[in-house]
Amino acid sequence: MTTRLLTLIIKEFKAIWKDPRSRMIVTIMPIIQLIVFANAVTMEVKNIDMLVLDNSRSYYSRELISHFANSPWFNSVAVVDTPEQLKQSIDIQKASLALEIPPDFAVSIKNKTGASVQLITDGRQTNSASIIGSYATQIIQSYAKELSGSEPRLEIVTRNWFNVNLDYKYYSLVSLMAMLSMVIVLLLTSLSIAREKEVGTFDQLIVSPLSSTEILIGKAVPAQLLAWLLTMVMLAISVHFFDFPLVGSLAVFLAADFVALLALVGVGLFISSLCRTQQQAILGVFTFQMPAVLLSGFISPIDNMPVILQYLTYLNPLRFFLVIAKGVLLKNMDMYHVLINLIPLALIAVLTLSIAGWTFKSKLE
Amino acid sequence: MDTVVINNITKKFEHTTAIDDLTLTIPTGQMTGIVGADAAGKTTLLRIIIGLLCADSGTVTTLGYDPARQKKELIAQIGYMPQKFGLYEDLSVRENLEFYADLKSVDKNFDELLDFTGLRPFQKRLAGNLSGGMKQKVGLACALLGDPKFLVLDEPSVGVDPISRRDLMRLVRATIKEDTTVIWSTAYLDEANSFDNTVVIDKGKVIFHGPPETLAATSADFEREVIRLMGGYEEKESQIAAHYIYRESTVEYPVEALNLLKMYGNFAAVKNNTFHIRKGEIFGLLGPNGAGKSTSFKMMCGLARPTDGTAKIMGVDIRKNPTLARSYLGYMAQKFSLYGNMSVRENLEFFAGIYGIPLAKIKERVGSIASYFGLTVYFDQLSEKLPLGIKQRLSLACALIHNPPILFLDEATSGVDVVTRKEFWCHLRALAKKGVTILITTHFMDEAEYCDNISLFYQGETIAVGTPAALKAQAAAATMEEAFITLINRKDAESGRL
Repeated sequence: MTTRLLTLIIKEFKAIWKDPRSRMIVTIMPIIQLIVFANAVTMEVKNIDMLVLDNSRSYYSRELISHFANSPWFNSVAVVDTPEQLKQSIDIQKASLALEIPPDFAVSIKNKTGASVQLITDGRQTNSASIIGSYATQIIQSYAKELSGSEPRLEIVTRNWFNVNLDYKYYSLVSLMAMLSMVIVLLLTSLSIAREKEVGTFDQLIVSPLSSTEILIGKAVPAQLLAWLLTMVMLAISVHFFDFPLVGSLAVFLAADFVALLALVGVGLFISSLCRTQQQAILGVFTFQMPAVLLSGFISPIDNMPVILQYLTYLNPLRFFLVIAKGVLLKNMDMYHVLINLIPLALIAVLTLSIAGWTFKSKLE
Repeated sequence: MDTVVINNITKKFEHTTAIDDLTLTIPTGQMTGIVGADAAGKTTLLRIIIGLLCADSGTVTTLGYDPARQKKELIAQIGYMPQKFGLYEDLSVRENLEFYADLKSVDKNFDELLDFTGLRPFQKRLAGNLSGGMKQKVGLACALLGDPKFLVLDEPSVGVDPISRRDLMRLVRATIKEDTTVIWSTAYLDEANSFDNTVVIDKGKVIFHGPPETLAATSADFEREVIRLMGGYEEKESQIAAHYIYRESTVEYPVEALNLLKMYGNFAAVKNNTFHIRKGEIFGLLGPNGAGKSTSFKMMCGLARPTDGTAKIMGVDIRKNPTLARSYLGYMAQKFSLYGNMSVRENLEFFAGIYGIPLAKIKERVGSIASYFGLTVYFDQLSEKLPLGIKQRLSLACALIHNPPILFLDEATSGVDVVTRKEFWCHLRALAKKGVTILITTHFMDEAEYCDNISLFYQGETIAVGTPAALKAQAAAATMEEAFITLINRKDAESGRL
């Protein structure tokens, strides 16, 4: 039993390492993706290009424009002369914000009758449009305050906890680590069995005294260990090169990661038991991966989803793991909250592994 | 005029020479067979002839064109059927024909073709649901579209049973016109006598070219002559068998099938299959494609679960205790199924390990088995880079690494050259003499003659069991192939299906 299993596990490690494709999957691919996406995946809006159609051409309008130009969010503030030019620039996405100042702007301010301006944002990009809109509103309000000259009676001072400067990288690094290790573990497990089926060596394994449980364990262990090791490497890169603040317990994080990977190994083995070719296996991985990412709370908060989808997220190992990962790494979450998420994660792992074992056996014979 | 004129062509791939200074002419209006083992250079030669590959040196003229440069003109006059013909499995037979007719922009009147090939009743069936022989017929029908002047068929009969093989041959003979040239490549030496002109290729060289009768009168003699041309074969004492350690046991029938039944929905792929194989017996499973012999074989070794009945290996029920039962088995599959990107040593070590040889002894066992099998020189080479014959020897070594009392071989010799095959059977016979029980499936009728007993499968049932001599007597036939065809036709007549 032990010799058989050990032989199989050693062979799996060799097979992963000797196949150029799987070697890429476990080495260069995740690390490059981590580095690239950590810089690319951001929901902050910076470097905005804006347009101004200044019909007022007054002291007040120039003041307002300079408030925009001096704010850190805006890259360029270009002035146009006609509404057509403005329309066209928005159409071709040359600018994502336009400000139209009416001719009576200065007069209305002087007479204190209340001036109005028009803001145009590009609604095709919903999220950034609303963010840009709120930046612009802030700027206009602060200018209005200056004009009225009165001190606000209530001053708000904001402090962000856990991520003082609201650096988006911290958030995306955690999610990336979780998602990349998910993809690796899924691909390694599902491809390795599919490959053996294609080549014909799978029959050799089945005809050997190896039991189906042993074959499953033999396939699971290398993928599990490699993905786990990679998470550690990615965490080290994050801490070392991206100043990622590791405030919680590394041991708790790695334990939770181990359980999450087990759950995903179960999914990978399940996919592979259904597939006959590597192509099918890759499709299977994508079919799982997309909803898993979308329903993890990474892209949109789970509380904002329709109720049915919220229930569905309870089956998603990534959902629970992301809570633990962010909680432990960024704010040293207490043990009670870790357990609330770790227990469902463990249950999912038991579920996926049993389903995988069951389909594997029933498909076999 | 000759259809193909080849002068001194050579083609190399990375490390191997596929075609080695080959010169050949193929006469118009005749059927030329190109006979050779896998990797002998047949496919490369065909692809050079029709312009899918360019030779490194030498000249080729096909139908008066230079295939390397005038491919477009040439292709329009050729019907080519590659080894794995690209039938779309999710399209029906008719849709496949229509698709290829569109590609060749020829008329879509298939009536004659459908009648001829006997495919008319099946034209609505999905190509993926056809048996191996039928698929080849559809492939052939597609190649015949547009009445090509030159028909190039790359191993149309590979993996096809003797009956379908004869069918295909008859079909080609009947369809072609007087001036049509046909090239038919094959790995089966026993087909050599059915061509007008036979070319035997070995290691990229032509070793015989001419009408087959000029070499030998019968297919058995032809084989002997080919072996002589390949440099001869001398039967030596099998080192493999000499070092095999047989463990005495009291089991009388090491392999038993007990009322095996396999249902796919309402269709019985195998029904009521019972046989007992004595110790040291070589037992052959024969039958046409789709007869259920593969399914039976799979149930015997645990690759498929019987709907009812069971198999016993050394008296152990394979359904109740699969791990123990399988530990008695050595298994060798149809195609080379070892780990290609691992070395010979790593493959042997892996199989030693999974068959339960203790870790401390693996190294010693692997070293000794490699020397008996003559694999020591290849020890650290990747197994995918080995020549086919050596690959096959490695497969056998992996199957025998744990000294199993039983050996299961599933078309283990398909594609290897005749000398390697002879050698392989010499090992098998010597192993059987030492007490190894062997179950084998094959399409080679000459191999069937080596078996002690044969079970002939047809429509899910055993229609005849006995020694090769008994089966031939039963069918009043001279050769195994004739016996095979007679017995199956007789069964058809009995069930009134003819």
